[in-house]
Amino acid sequence: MQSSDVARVGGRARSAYEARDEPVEVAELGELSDVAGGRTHGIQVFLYLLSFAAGIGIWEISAKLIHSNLFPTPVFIVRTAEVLANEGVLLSDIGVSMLRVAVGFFSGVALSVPVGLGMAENRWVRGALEPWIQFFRAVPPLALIPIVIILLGIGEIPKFLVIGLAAFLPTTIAVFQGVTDVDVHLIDAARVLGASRVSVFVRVIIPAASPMILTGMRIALGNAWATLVAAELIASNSGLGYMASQGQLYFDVPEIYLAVALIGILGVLMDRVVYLVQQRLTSWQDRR
Amino acid sequence: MTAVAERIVRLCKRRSYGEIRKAVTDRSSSGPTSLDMCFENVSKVYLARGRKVVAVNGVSFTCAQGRFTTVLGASGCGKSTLLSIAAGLVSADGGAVTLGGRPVKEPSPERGMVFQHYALFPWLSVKDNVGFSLRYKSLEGTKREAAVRHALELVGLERFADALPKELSGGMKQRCALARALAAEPAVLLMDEPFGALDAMTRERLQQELLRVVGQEGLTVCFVTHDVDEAIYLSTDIVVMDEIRKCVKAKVEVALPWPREPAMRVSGEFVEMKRIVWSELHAREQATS
Repeated sequence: MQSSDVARVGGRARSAYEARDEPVEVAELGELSDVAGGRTHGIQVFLYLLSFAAGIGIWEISAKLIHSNLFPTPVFIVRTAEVLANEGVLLSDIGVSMLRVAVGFFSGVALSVPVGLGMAENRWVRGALEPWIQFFRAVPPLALIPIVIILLGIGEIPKFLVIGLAAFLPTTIAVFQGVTDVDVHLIDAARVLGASRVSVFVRVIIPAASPMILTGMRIALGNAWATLVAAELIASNSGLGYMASQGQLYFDVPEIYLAVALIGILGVLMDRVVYLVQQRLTSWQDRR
Repeated sequence: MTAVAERIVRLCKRRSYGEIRKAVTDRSSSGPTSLDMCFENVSKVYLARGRKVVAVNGVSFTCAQGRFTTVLGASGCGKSTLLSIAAGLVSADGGAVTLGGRPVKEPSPERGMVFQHYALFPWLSVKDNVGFSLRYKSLEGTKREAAVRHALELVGLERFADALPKELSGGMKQRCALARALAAEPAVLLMDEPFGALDAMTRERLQQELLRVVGQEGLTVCFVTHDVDEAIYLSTDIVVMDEIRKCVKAKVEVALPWPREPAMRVSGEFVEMKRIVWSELHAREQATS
């Protein structure tokens, strides 16, 4: 990295203490950037909420004006949710879907770490696995559902398998790429400081690749969620996708809307959680 | 007030490095138990696009204990490769590097290295970077902390112990990298164009700091640069590399008094020294033409 990009963020303050050779406290700089960052962040969140509220408002008004059974108002959908919640169906469907995505996602990610590392470290492993990973990446996991149903039925195992695959592929690619891209100088520096092979792995390669790996996990979670809902639409007797398909079957229109809204809200919430974990773990990165 | 006091203390430290430096150079002529680093007929060939490229061709010289030896040459003369071999990161195809008589085979904390682009671990704070090597030594917690504090004080970063590398300027990053190498208590410090990425003012200040630290700690340094002024100002010995034949062209002892002070950069002696080194560096290779 050139010294010019080094000084990119807060460059003026830094060159000031370089010139005086009597450094300004880092805390000062940190506070400055925090204040600015906090304010813009607050405005951003406010805009998000405003946009969301406006969308709901427009929907409510237009649904009232159109007055059709096919286009229920948000208020009516919330009431439907209350009814379903009282029956105990709502929470169980949400719980089932969340559980499926959690099992599939975590097992897919857990498997992707050793596989990605193996591919990055050993050309035999890479040679053996990469064509298959590329092949399955080109096939949307949804396209596998018919085969999986024929082979394994519509129980939980086939869902875990398809969701797991949807999570496994992007994370494997990310782990592989992240580990391959680690700055050689960091590895050299660790070795010169006395680190063994294993130690270099744990203390340098994994943390250096973590931003990439976490980005892969975020994409993986999105894929897993989308695949899950589709799998439930096609072949299931519980879950949010099932809720939507039942709504279609019995012409319970608000239930379809409710299922779609819940799928979206839960998807966003889960992505936020992974995003916050990512921000926390990679706060050391020099970001724009 | 404390800032002023600290500055005074630091200035006092600076004054004294010359005497320490002298004591160290005297000690270095101690003889058989020395930890000299010797390059003995070192060669290295790379394969690039199916073609063999000679990077280093039969290089021999010694970095004597307690002395500051600089390998000077244009980029591509093989000087960085030499340093990687000395660090044990790259193996030589011919010859050997020895430290205190023992051949170098793999990286070890006894040969500390400072890289041009710092190579700090960005996810670790300054103090954790500096303490990275201490995990591999059986040190108690308190001693470990003391070692880190000492290294940070040496480079003047004690108030930035908890900062992350991204919060530091280029010069401070390189101070941190130096402290990290020093905390491992190396017998030899290998420096690969450490100030190459810095602006001229920062470079001069860090050169001065480096001389002070080297004097205080009595370090043996093997330094690589393409900057003639830097080589003269810092070194006791200069090894001039031949850009074309990838071997040693000349060895020059720097006849400048210690301590080195900024005003010397424009002194007559310095200019004379520069003339000598410069003409060695640019001497036409009669052997090859």
